[in-house]
Amino acid sequence: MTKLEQLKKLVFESDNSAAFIERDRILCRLEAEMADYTSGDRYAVILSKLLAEVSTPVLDCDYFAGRMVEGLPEEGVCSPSRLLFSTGHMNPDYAKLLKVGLGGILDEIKSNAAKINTPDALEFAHNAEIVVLAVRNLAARYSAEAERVEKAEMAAALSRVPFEPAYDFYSALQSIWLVHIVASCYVGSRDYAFGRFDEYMLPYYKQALSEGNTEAELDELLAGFFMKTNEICGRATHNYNIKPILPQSSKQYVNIGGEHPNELSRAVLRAAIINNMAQPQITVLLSPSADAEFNHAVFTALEALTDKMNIYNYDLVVRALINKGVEPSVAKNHTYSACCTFDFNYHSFRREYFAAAPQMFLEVIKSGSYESVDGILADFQSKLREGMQRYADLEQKRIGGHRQAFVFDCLLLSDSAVMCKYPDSGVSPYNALNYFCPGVATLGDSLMVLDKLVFKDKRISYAEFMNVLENNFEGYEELHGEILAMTHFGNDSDADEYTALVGKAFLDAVDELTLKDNFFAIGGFYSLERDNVWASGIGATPDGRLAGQPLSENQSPTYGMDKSGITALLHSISKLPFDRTATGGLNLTFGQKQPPEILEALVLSYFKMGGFHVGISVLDREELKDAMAHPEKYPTLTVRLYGFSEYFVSLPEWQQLAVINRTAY
Amino acid sequence: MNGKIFDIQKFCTSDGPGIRTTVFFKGCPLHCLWCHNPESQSSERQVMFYADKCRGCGKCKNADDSFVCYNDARRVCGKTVTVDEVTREVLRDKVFYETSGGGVTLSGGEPLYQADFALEILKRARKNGIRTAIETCGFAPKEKLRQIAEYTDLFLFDVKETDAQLHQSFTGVDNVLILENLRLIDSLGKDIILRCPIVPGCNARTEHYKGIAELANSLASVKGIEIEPYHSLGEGKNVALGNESRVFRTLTAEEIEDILVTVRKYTDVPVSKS
Repeated sequence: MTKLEQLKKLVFESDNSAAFIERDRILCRLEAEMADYTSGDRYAVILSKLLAEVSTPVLDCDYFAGRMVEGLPEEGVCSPSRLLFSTGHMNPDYAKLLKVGLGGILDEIKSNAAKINTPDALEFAHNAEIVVLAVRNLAARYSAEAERVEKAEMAAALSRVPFEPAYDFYSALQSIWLVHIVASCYVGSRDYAFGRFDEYMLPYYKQALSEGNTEAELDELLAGFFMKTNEICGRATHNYNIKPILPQSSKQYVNIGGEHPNELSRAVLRAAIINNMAQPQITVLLSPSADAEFNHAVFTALEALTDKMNIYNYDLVVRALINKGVEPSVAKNHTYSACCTFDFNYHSFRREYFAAAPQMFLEVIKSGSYESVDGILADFQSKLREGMQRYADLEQKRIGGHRQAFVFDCLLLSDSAVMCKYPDSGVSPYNALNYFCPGVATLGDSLMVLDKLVFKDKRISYAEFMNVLENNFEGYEELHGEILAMTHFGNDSDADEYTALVGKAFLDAVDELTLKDNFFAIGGFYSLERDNVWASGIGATPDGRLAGQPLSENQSPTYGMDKSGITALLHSISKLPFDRTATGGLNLTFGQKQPPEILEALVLSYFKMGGFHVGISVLDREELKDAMAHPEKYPTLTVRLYGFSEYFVSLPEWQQLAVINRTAY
Repeated sequence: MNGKIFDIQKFCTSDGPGIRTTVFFKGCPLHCLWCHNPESQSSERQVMFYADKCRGCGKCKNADDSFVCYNDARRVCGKTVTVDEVTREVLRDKVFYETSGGGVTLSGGEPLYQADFALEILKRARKNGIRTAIETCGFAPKEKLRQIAEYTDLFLFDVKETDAQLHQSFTGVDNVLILENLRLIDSLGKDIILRCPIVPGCNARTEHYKGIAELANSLASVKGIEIEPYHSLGEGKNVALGNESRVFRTLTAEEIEDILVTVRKYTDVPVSKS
């Protein structure tokens, strides 16, 4: 068995109900021991004590050091996230880490704090110093262990990184992993992404090739690195039987591509195929005209990585950001982190808000009598804006609130480090508020039905139609059948315009928000699991959806309503006003494998039409049904959920059925 | 100009290169025993009735073609359309043809059975910069075929049976004119792919496989041979049309592989499974 196979086996053998037991035990004890310790460096001291005490296991099959000790949760031992926590959902500045090391980052913080010379800034620097030295100490202990088990390269690297700058390809990856595991697992939170990995790792990759390493050797090393991401997330989804750890169900995004894809971008694809696990999610920022060879490599890799890859229309996103007033250099440097959510790379952690658009839409149409779609849209937009503004005000009110002086993430969010301020203080010139509109097709189709049946054809009065909805179409079965037989969104017809109008109203509401200059409201169409979990509380909608039935998912039509083939589907979806969005995602499902050149042509055509994102999966319904009946036979089977890959057998039944019931082309 | 079609399908990836739109003509001079598009054979409008989907509401009695059955139990097959209408529909996916090297394919039924209509569609496609293909059984007047060829980039030419007498019994016509037409297209230098349905109990025999290979070897413009194993998708449609249902055995994966190997033994022309 190869090292990679052994590592993979360990992931599947690990107990998904186990906690990071060593961390939890130590923190529980420290919580009691340090109950009276209220000094400003409390956070840093606790983290420092924790890192000094944890084990530093190195296995024979480990390519890189950094592994959590697991065990079943014990009574009386909890995971006290109130001691150490972070916000996560960010792309740490690993480029800077590699270039100057944690030591360099610390020097910069100390120098800046001295210049700023306020008590807060000095305390920030004091905390930073304790934490950086604690990580250096952890690395030194791992180095000693690596030496003991005769892993010379690992031992040498950890005697220097992450405190010092990385000096080669291996040390760069090792540096990132040690910091990543501290951020994700000890300090704790979900969804730390790897930023523009192929850009900042390229010099080390080139150096390794020039020193005689083969592509295959480096691919294996990268695959070993990617395998690590599976060791820290658990194998469950975020809403069902979750692993009791802070980075539970985290989705590990690796961003590649952009304006200048390079040889490392292609190596990442090769390594991801070798790894072929639920993590990491390869997020391709595809500039269609940038590099034809890279495009081919992406779609060839997609054959193996179907549910594990996101493909974004990079050029469209950059244009949308510039139109929002973002500096071109910052716009071009954007990233995504889980799940399908926009990020200003290492500037700040990002926030997200799912507008209760379906509920608001129903409230609006039931609140009065309308004579046209314009009236509905105006009131809907106004209601959306109120809800979204409340969230924006709340987020901005937190600014200056100083939850605490310092968290580990401050080292990796460069604006925070430069200004010696906690990131939640809104110090960055670039803070992203992601605003999502779930169920956009449900709402568009609802508007279409109202317009055609009530306003134009006057087949039924407005009041009676509201009564039909109240009665969940009971007694109106014929009307219900007629509505379902109407052409809905997703068939490249005039009906699509209504969904586009809903999308426009949503984005108009986003653009009307009052924000501080350093906050950017980024709108997009995305449901995550709201299409199902919100559904039970939402009554019948005019599009023929009965009370409790799922809403449309992400940017898709209501499943079953797209009856005109995939090219019509893509024409329809591209009518959404994507040129004003930079966040969200689409799932595109096939019933059988498609050749890479066909997938490439489909996606490039879609992007030419103004499409924004695709996540592609291939479903074998019979296999999935068998997996529901015999989960023990399918431990490694992955499927694509909203913007990420999951193990099918780890999903709740309703979600398994939702996957099976998608329209597959 | 008007013509009769029964479907326009988008995102077709096995009717020529790239992503294509296939226009299915209604009406065919042949009546192959194994036809998987039985609704294409008659030139007349037909009603297909799927009894398993019918809820017995009775609303379709005396209904005209505009009636839509919500349960999809009743479908009208065949409609008269103009060249403009077909062209408009084909042009919708132009972006997909451009990025994939695809285009439009005329299929059926038999496109050459409505040769003038087919010709006008091909001309309009060419005028709009769209590459063209035609799937044909080859049973058509030579002069019409010559005109069509001028506006066709690729012929997907059916080889249903290499033995003339058996061809007659399987399809209703012999293959003399068909083979003459194939040679005519070849002499015009048009790209040709031979499409060969293989049906157990009919043409699934070694002499036929050898005959396909020898036919390909005798022509200059054949770019490939596609073996099309019989499938039973036409069965449900025959039932819905009220036709006598004919079902043949489907080939196993091993048998299909053997056929490919056999054909390859006799020719250097690329052979693939369609």
